[in-house]
This record gives sequence, C-alpha cells and structure tokens, in this order.
Amino acid sequence: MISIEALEFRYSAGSDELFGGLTHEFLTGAVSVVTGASGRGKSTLLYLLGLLVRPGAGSIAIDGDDVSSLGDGERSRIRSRTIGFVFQDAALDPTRSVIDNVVEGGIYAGIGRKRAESRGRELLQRFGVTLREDRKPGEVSGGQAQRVGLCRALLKEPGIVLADEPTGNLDADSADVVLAALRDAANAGAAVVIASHDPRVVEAADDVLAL
Amino acid sequence: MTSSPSEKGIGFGGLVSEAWRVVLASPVSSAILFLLTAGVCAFVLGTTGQTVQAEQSVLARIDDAGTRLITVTDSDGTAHIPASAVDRIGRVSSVDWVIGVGTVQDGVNSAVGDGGNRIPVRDLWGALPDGFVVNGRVPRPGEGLIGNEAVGEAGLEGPLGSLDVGQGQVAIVGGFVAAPGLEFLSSGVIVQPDVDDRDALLRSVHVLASSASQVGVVTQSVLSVIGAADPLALGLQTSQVLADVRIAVAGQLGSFSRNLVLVALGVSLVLVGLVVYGSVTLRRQDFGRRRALGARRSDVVALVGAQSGLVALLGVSLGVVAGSLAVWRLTGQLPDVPFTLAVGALVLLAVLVASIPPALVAAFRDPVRVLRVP
Repeated sequence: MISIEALEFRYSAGSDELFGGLTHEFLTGAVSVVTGASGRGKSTLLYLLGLLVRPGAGSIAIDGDDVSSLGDGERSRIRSRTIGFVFQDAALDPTRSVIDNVVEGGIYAGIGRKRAESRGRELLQRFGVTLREDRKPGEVSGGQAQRVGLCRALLKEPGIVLADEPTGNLDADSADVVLAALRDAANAGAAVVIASHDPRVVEAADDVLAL
Repeated sequence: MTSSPSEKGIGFGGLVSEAWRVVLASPVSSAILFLLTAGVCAFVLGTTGQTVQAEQSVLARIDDAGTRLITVTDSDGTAHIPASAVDRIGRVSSVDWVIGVGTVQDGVNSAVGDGGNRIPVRDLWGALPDGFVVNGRVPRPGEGLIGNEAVGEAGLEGPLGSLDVGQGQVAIVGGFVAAPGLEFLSSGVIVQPDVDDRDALLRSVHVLASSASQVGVVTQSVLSVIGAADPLALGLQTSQVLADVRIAVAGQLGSFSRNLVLVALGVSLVLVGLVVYGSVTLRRQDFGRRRALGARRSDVVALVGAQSGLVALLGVSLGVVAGSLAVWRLTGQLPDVPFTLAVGALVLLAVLVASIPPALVAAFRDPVRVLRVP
C-alpha cells in the first residue's frame, strides 16, 4: 500500500500549490485512477508517488514507511526495485532495440541481462508485441510502443505500478490490452495507480481519486 | 518470481555492458570521441616521442664524448697510486665502474724477436667495463688482450700469440675494442695482473660516474679514497663543463616535451569535455528516463564515465599504434614502451577527468523536467 497524507506541492515558489493537503491510500491489489482536468497535477502526483520529487509538505509512505524524506540514493533504490513506471508517451529510447528498452527496466534493479531478456521476451509475447525484437521504437506503432513501455515497467514485477495516461493515444484494442495487463499486475499483488481522464480507464478502476 | 531484483544494483559488469551498448547506439558522438582521443594520443606520441628520441640521441652523443668519465693520472710516477685504490673507489656510491692502468712496458711479438715493433703493454686492474668489445676469451692472470689497432703493429695475423715483455712472456688470448674515453688502450695490450700483487702501482685511474650530475661529487670521493702517497702530484681530468652542458640540454629538452604534453592534454580536456557535454545534452531525456527507472546519480555518472572510457580505450589503442608508426617513420626507432604506455594512460585519464563535469550535469538534471509531456 502507498499512502499520502496532507500532501502539498508546488514546482517553484511563485507557482500554484497543487494538492491542498491531500490525503489518500492506494491499496495493494487494486487499480486506482487519478483523474481530473489538465493541469490539476495528475502526472505530478505520479512523480511524487514515484519518488522523483519531494512533497512541499505532508508525507508519502510505502507499506507504512515514510519515504518522502529519504535521500536520493535510497529513493532511487526503492524506485529501481519496487516501482514500475509507464510513461505518457512510452518514453522509449529511440536508439536502442525493443528488447533493449524492455531490459532497461531491470538493469538498475540488478536483474542479470540474460534473465531480463528471457523475462522481457515472455512479456512481449504475452502483450502481443509480435514484431522483431531488434526493431527500433521508431519503427513500431504507438500502440505497440506503449505495450513495450508496459513490458519494461512490469519486467521486475514491481509492488507499485504508476501509469501516466497509458491509453492516451491508443486505439480501443491496444487500450484493452494495456488495461488488462495493469489489472493482471494488480491481481498479482501490485498497487496500480493510473493518471488518466479516459472514461474507459475510470470505468475499470477499483478506486477513483479526482483532483 | 522469476526476475526479482537483487541488492547489488547494476553492478560493474552490467555497467560496462550497458555503457558499451550506449556507445554502439550513439555512433556519431562515439566516433567523434574515438577520433579525438586517437588524434591526441598520436599527436603527443608523434611530436613528444620524436623529441624524446632526439633528446636521447643528443645525450647519447654527449655521453659518447665521455661526459661522465673521471681520469686521475700519475704522469711522472711520483704520486704512487696503489692498485688497491681500484677496490676502494669501486665501493663509492654513484660509480658505474673503475679501472686502474699500471706502468707501461714495451712488448715485442715473440715470433719476431727483438727486431719487431714495440707496442705498449699495461696491467689493467678491475673488471673490463661496459663498452669493451672482446674478441676471444677473458684473460687469466698473466694473460692479455690486444687492442684492435695494435694487432698489425705487433705483426700478428689475429688477436692470438705471445709477446716478450721484459724477462717474461704474455700470452695474447683475444682482442678488444676499447670503451669510449679509453681509446688510448687500443694501441697496445692490456694484461690481467696478479691480484695478490699488493705493491703494484697505477699510472692512471679511470672512473665512470653513474650520471653527469654526480661527476663533481664522485671526483671528490675518488680523490679522498685513492690513497696516493703524494696527492699533490696527481693530475685530474673531468668533463665537468660537458656534464653541466648535458644537464642543461636534458633539462631544456625535457621541459619542452613536458610543456608540449601539457598543452596537448589541456586542449584535449576541453575538446573531450565539449563533446561529452554535447552528447549528454542531446540525451537528456535518456538520463531522465533512466533516473525514473531507478538509476542513482552515481549510476549516471558511472555510465557516462564508462562510455567515454571505453571509447577512449579504443582511441588510445589506435593513437598509440599511429603515433608509434609516425615516430618510427621519422626517426627509424619506436618510442620507449614505458613512455608510450604513459602517454596512453595520460590521455585516458584526461578523457575520464573531462567526462566528469558533463556526467554530473546529467546526473543532477531534474528528471521530471524532461519527462513531463506538455
């Protein structure tokens, strides 16, 4: 479980405060959706939950342990082992092959390359990425790229999955695959948090947090 | 779980493997860094290597002229230098070798008899120094070697035979070419004396100091331990002026080489820094993504350093080969191995140092700033 308490955040001293002392719990085994209009801080909340930025006030706890005040090294360690990110635009490395992009999700967690490649191929097959693994991201469709990003996030079987508009630019079939994969991750014991304003995603959620 | 994380993080092997994949995935910046490193290495070797060769050549020629040789003489035989002086001087620090030359006697080819040419025969105390080229076996006490210039003069067909000297004979068991500074010996015969002859006197002592800078100190030491009965009757010849010139030349050439290397390394530091900074700037999304996936700042610094280091290693290898070939083409000799290795290591170190600032920039860039989609 990941919980936030009395959360406040602003990007700079002169900018608007985004959360107004927000408190919430994102449960293990559930798909939670953060929704709201553009600019309300959906992505920012994911960055906070992903320990990429620190809250201005309040706290973030993972399984009861306050992690918001940890140093960068410890937060990176938690991120590498516990948190899987699915980015809004897939954020694949255009210079590397599909399999290299998937494997990247495990290298900072210390998963050996051979093991990571084996697991990556399983995931690619499971999510219907049928193209050759030595293809570059620029040679695949947006839907396939987002599935590759999903494989990268799930490679280390993280306890927390954070997905930022994962169905934003996808057709219905690709969106269904992605949502099913995130549901499977939750069923396997992960706390899945999705930032989205896609009605299909909101419908599939166990918990909805509106900003 | 089939792929559970471990506590060790990326690890050294994973880091090198990942860095190599990044090198291959960034062909333009890798090629620029590779060529730059190879060029700097080849330039330093090709220029400084040539200077070092020239320095060694100049110094060798000065040394050939006997820069380090100290000669003490007893010209009129009144100073009485004992043969035991050779052992004492040999124990002085900074002495490479010492020989003592005894009184000159006339020798005549035994096969010719009294009508033959007379050539000088000298006892030589101490081991034959480096630089003597001996043709034949090492003489035992009472046996001698004949100088290459004296063979014909003595009426011998080669460096074998015997000479009548005073009341006895000296067997010639080989020939020799004298070391630089001792060429006067080549016109005669040198005889291995009986080491038990404690009363023997020397007419000259020749000492080679280990370096030009030690000539003055060694000269003082030699004069203090030589044990001559009348030190005031001794004659002294040193090449102190030449030794000073040698030190000055070595300093001048060494200073020029060092300055050249420093300038080349300084320029390469700046250029490598700019290339790596440019590469890091182009890849800011890459580093932001890596940070989001769990890379620590130190992982980013290590990745950039390893990437530069791998490319530099290849560049240095090419540069060493190219620079060495250039030196060989220009001087006919390959540069010294330690010098070549030192240049390669310095260039590699310069690349790693130059990569640190851009690596820190990449590591401390806010990942959220590059990951946010407007």
